[in-house]
Amino acid sequence: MRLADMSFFNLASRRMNWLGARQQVIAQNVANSDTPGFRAQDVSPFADVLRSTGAGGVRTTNTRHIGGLAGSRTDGVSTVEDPEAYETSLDGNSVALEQQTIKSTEVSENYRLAAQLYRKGHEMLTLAATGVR
Amino acid sequence: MDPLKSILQISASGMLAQGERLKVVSENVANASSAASKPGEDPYRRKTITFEELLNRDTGVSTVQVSSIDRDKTDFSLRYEPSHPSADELGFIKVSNVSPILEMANMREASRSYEANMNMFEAARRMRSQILDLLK
Repeated sequence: MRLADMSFFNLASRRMNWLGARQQVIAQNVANSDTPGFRAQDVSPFADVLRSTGAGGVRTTNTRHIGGLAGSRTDGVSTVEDPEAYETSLDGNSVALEQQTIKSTEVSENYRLAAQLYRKGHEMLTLAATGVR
Repeated sequence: MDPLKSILQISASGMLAQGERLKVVSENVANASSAASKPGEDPYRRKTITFEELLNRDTGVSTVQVSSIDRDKTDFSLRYEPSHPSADELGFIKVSNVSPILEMANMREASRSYEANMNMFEAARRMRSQILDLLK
């Protein structure tokens, strides 16, 4: 039985993948906070990612295969225009730095939580298997 | 590319772009009182900077880059200074179209954006080190 088959580790690692992707989108928003016409983005909710089987994107098994659309991912995470962006400046840019910073802090904390949980699960498994912490 | 690793690249591009912006601001501030040296010539014309999104089609990562540095086309205002070498026959000289207040506002926003990019860089670095800590 592989670790990846156990639903606990599978869930924790998919959560961390999703959080990593979300942090990337936030970083892109922040880098483009002064680009005219740039709309803030966010990722699809984690619940949607869990529901999908994770088989998104196009498989490329040969060097001559064309990959999927730019930004397509194979983990079921997709980017959407941020529905919570509340402020658009005159040049069409809808990135609010405060909002992005708050989101980024949330993501960091959740990532830390997921990583700790993963480690705890691993420790419990070791404890069960060996009887020794 | 791994999302956390690509954040380092994205934030670096953001910091570079804001650095360029700060450079343009300081050029404007330094030349704010540069008037012409001969009659009929123009004084310093304010520089403006524009950013654009750069989308890497292979990785799907969008960074930022400077698209152009242009000159502000606002007209120059006149100031009465007959002793200046570039004064016209009425004694007026054209002064640069740099507004110090606008440049200060630009500077503050550039610093704020720079800091935000730096925070993203730090957050990504921290998240990656948490992954590595799992090995301990």
